[in-house]
Amino acid sequence: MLELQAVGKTFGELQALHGIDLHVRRGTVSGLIGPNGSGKTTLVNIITGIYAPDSGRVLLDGKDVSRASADQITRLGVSRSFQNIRIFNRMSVLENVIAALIGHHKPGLATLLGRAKRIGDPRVTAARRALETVGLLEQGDLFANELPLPLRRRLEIARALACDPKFLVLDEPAGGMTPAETASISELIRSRIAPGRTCVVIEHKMDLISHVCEHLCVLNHGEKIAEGDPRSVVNQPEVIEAYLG
Amino acid sequence: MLAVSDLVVNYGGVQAVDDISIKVKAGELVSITGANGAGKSSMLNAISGIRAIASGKIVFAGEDITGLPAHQIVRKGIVQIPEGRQLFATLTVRENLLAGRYSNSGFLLDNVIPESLIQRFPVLGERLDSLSSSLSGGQAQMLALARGLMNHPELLLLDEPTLGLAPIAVKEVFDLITELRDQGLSILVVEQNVRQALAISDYAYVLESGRVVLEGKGDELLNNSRLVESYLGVAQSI
Repeated sequence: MLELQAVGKTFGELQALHGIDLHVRRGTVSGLIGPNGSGKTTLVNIITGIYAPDSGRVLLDGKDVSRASADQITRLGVSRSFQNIRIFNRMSVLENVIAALIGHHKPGLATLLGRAKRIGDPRVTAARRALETVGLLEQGDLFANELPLPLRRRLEIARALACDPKFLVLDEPAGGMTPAETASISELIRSRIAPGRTCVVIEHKMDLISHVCEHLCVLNHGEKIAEGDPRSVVNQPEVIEAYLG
Repeated sequence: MLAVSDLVVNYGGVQAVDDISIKVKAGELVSITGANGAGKSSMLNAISGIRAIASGKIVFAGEDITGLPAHQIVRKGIVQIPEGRQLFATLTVRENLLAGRYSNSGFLLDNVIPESLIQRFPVLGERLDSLSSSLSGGQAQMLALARGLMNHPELLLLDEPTLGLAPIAVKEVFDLITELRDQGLSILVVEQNVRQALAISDYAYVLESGRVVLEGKGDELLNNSRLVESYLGVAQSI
């Protein structure tokens, strides 16, 4: 499904990624962990076309997408949620998801939104389906900022799901959550979001990683230091030293 | 050292803090845990004077500080390290540290970064002239803590100091908090890493819907089954 071949990226004097190889198989959930500043978000930004790699290649379904723009990557069925929640506080929950489908930067978003809601646009149906998947359909008419943090995280995921991506990247879906809230989002990812998709999950909460991931990759200082079955990876001394402490 | 009695704080039309009383004794590390929306941050913000209180009383070092503005509360010796670090991204590490040394009227009191602070945070010492935006998450949290310490607090209020940090950085933060407590600083910390927070706390409170539902010594709460049921919920996966 997704293959990274010797991907490297440098920012000024900082080598953010050194020759990363990664293979994400179709229909699996892979975890990406590593210390703060290890290159996880840079890697995701390369996968989603926000940055182009300086060296190496990114293949999606065998096709080289190393130079594809973020828009093009999205059209190929790749979507993501953000670590820093990017929702419109003073729009309703449903409108937030519709807006994700329309595209934020289009002028006259409000007009488009109004029209989309009036005429039973298919985008409204898709948005409702995404909200239902994350368990937020009943809250559709609330202002987004009326939701507590765990539900705002679900809304952030619904926005990424609305275009029905075949490849989904979740960036810290349990950020800021308590253990009970983390358990709840873990189960949601495992039972409702991951089935039928290929996912990459970045997360520091190992409870979530061990609950949802079949494969785990560890970055440190821009290099891959371990990968494989999550249970064996977290017992490797170099992973304990660099990440778990 | 700190006694909060019958505190009520309203936030967006709801009672975020609904009649809470807590104490922090001198030299103690006290933690507050609870689900998102339980009122933890509202309570800290009320103590530091950032958020107005509806009723209740806050006494610090024997003095009633209820209703004092935030800048006067800082002068009394209470320093809050905000959630999300809130560093000045376009300033260097050194400038961020010195930001902790401005008087209420806007004068730089001195431009000295104590040697002891650099020894405590060697990673900051190495990067004094780097922009704070170039720090990793763990380093940024250390800078936020160090900036707070520049003010020589007697009571430190920490709002989710491990948010977004990798496990190894979480351990570093908890080690540092323990060390500061052992050196005599009083600390009130809001945390979502419940088990680690309870393990190092002298005393802890669990909040639910703006009220204290459980309190006790950290290690006792760690083994309390009601805590597991009412708050952690999913003990088997933790």
